[in-house]
Amino acid sequence: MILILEKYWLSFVYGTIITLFIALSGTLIGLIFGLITSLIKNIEAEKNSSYIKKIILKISNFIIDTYITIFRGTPMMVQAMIIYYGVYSLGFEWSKIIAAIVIVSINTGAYMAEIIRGGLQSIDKGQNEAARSLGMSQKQSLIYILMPQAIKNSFPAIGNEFIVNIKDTSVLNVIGVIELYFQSSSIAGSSYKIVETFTITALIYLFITFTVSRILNYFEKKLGFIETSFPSSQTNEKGLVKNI
Amino acid sequence: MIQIKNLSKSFNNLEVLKNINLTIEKNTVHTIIGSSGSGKSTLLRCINLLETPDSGEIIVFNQNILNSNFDIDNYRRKVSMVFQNFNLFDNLNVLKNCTIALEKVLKIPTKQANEIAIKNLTDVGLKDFIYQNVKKLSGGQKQRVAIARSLCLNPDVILFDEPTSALDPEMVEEVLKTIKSLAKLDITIIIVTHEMQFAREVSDTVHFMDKGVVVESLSPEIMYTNPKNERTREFLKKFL
Repeated sequence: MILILEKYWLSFVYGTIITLFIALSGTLIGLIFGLITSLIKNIEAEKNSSYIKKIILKISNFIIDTYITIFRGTPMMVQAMIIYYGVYSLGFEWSKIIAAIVIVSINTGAYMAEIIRGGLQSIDKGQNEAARSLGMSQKQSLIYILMPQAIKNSFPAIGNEFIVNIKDTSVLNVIGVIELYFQSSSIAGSSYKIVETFTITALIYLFITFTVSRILNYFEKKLGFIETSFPSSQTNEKGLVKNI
Repeated sequence: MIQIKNLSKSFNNLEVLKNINLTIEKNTVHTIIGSSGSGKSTLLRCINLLETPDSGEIIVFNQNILNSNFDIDNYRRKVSMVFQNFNLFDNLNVLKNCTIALEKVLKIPTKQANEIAIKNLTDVGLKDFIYQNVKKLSGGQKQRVAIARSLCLNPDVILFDEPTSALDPEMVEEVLKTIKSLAKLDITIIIVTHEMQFAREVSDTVHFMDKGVVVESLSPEIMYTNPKNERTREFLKKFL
């Protein structure tokens, strides 16, 4: 194992960086996709909306539903083949890294849309009513009141999606993206030491996911995503906890 | 200033409001009393269009607010609502709860919005809490923030939907005191409440609702001493 590391460490490092880069950017762009789609999906036609607005909303909702169904319902490996070679066959030569980010983003976006939707559903409907009763439009209520709370509520699930993506980028080796799994196969192929090589690979994946989940936990606590709230009877008039 | 004519509302076959007729004059305090499920809250929510009535008219500022081209968002700024469960924005601190509508809806610059908010928060006795997380406030404090939040928009009408029902008994008083102080201002107030003594002290007119109907509308003196209707008497007997 040490021999393999000595000889191929640079390839491992390179693969790891690419994996992390694709997973991170794919998750972030996917999150933006998810936010936009759930924002659109949550705008409902109101009694006094114009006819055109109602039709546009209907059509966009249909497109979003289809997108979510397709991309959650098929393996990312298959999506990668169709998207990468599909674009290629249209005559566009595109870099594999870009393709990888696009594929992961679109795929993640479909999951994120559902995660944010769940986050929105978990918010008490009184929050929206209060916003509306102050004269905020539906859009303002979503952007300033509901979405921030939905993102906060779904932070653990969003972080989880990032960890899943770190591992799932490995399927992108089918289109020849030189990420960690692809590098490992090449190393295994030239060293003939399959078990040793992939043990190292596994350890690298494990190390990254473990570290990332620790970092996410830290942020959850730091940013107050996990709250310890005390019953009002145990807080003084300044809202601070009494000496119990 | 608010005229409700033949208002009806059903939730899946359940008739909650039956032909309600009500007139509320400018700068008066009206309380609506009645047992749970009598349609009090629904009536209030209809006035703020949080519920859409099935039929009838609600005329405010000489406009029928149920017209399809009526500007609802603009209307709601002038008719604000205080909820039973406070509904403070959990993602914002006390000050931001009060300024968000000023900044985003009325487009008032932050500095000015802060001044308005701090003035109103001072009035309800919460000056020291402006940067507090709303989740850390007591129930009474939350409701006072909610009242300040409504006042920031300088509304013509404030609707109170059972403002003290979710509070510990010892906190009811501070909220009622705050509402009483509003009654002196030039604001029309409609309160749905179970606090009979409070309703008696504060209101100009008390409406008794039962099974989706406004049974009687009387001045508090008469309502609490000599109501005409049998059902009103029966209801009030439990409290007095």
